[in-house]
Amino acid sequence: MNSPRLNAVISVILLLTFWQLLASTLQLPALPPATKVFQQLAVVIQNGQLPYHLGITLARLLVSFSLSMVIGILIGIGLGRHHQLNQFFDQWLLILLNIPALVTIILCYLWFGLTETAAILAVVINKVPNVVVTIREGTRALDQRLLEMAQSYRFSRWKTYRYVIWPQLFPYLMAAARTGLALIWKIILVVELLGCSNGMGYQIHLFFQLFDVTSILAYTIAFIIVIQLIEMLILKPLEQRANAWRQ
Amino acid sequence: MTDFSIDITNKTYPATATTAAHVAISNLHIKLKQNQFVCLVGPSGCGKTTLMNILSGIDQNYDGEIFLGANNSHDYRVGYVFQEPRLLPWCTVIQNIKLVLENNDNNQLIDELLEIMEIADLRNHYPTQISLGMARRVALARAFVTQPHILLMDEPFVSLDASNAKRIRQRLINVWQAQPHTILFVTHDIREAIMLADRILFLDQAPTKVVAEVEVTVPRINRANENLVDQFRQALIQDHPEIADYC
Repeated sequence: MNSPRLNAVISVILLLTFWQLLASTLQLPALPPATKVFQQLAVVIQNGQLPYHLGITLARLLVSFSLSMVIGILIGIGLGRHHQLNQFFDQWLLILLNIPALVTIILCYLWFGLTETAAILAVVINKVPNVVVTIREGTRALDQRLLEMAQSYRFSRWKTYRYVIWPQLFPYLMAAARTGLALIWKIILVVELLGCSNGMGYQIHLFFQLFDVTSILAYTIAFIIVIQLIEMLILKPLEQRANAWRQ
Repeated sequence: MTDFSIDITNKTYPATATTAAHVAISNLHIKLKQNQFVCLVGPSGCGKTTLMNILSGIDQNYDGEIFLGANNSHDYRVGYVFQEPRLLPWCTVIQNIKLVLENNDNNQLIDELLEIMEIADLRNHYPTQISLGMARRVALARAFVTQPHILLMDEPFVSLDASNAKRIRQRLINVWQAQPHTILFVTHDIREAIMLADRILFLDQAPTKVVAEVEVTVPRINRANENLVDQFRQALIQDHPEIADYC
């Protein structure tokens, strides 16, 4: 095992040990020991409860994340490439960025009812402005000289996007994807907590009412593991492949 | 391939927050014979790059016409070698060269050009892995591979050391003799122009106009002889005192 990975493992083990010791010392119902939480995690995995709710939340995440990224990228490139369009819509973006997530979620539920569409829409509305801002900055930073090269050699629109613009936008895209994933997770939980009858957020709300801290922490750990897996199995390999030319 | 007529009546840069509007080119008429190597020599800011950008299609905001043969046509192929190589860093050497082709990969021509430019071994290297001199040779091969109606070169050997520039200049002549094209070559260096050109046009400060035009009579076989080149330069100054400042 290489040194950074070993360091990470040691660091996590230390954190868990600290948690275990603190919980054993304090003996508080609000802070169950790590061992108990992991036992509960095994139970909810075995009885199918966690996979069901996690699966539903993941499906919502996948749909809202994909929609947010596609819409955000298109608008971001548009605003980054067209100065006047950007001037006109800049204020809209500012307003959207400053609306609290909770307000958007409640408004979506009020306007569209407690439906799946409203839940997804609330997440998308919250996330799109962040993607737009990141991609817009990336588009503004595009190397004009390479675009001129593409223009002089009569690259088609597709070829220009595929070979000149896209590789330059990729780091911005990854930044938007990473922050997006973290933000969407958090928003989805609130969305589920407020207006859904399934999913991780709904379950956590249930455990809150029952003061079941052990289950809340067990679900949280499952959550963290899934996010780490997405990072390790999808985002990192994608980034490494796209950055092969930098080696 | 046919003759080229450049007839630009007006190119004005609009005023910006920091600069007033200024006329870069006014009533400029240049005729290029098929497969002729023409050098443009002039002081900085005389509109040479503006002219190249117009011819390449990068700048379409001007009054005038470009004729290819008898037809007023913008439908001509351009090869453009910029001051910097402008290779796509995420594409290998061979990908950079093939990208400028529309659909039919002319592998025989590519192989021939790679051989002449002595970059055949670099085909799978990324631009970040090769030297500036090599990158410039790749840019030259890329320009020739399109079999352009006109090949534009905007001080392509600037910032290279003298020996490297001399080698690449010789390779340019080799490839041009193997694949004759109409070339418009911008340079500050009168010696470089004498070594390369059939005809030299001297431009004055913006708005650009041709102040002198000379045929280079030094036989190509003798152009590596710096004494002969210098003798021609001295004779040029005597015959055209108005261009003494450029020489």
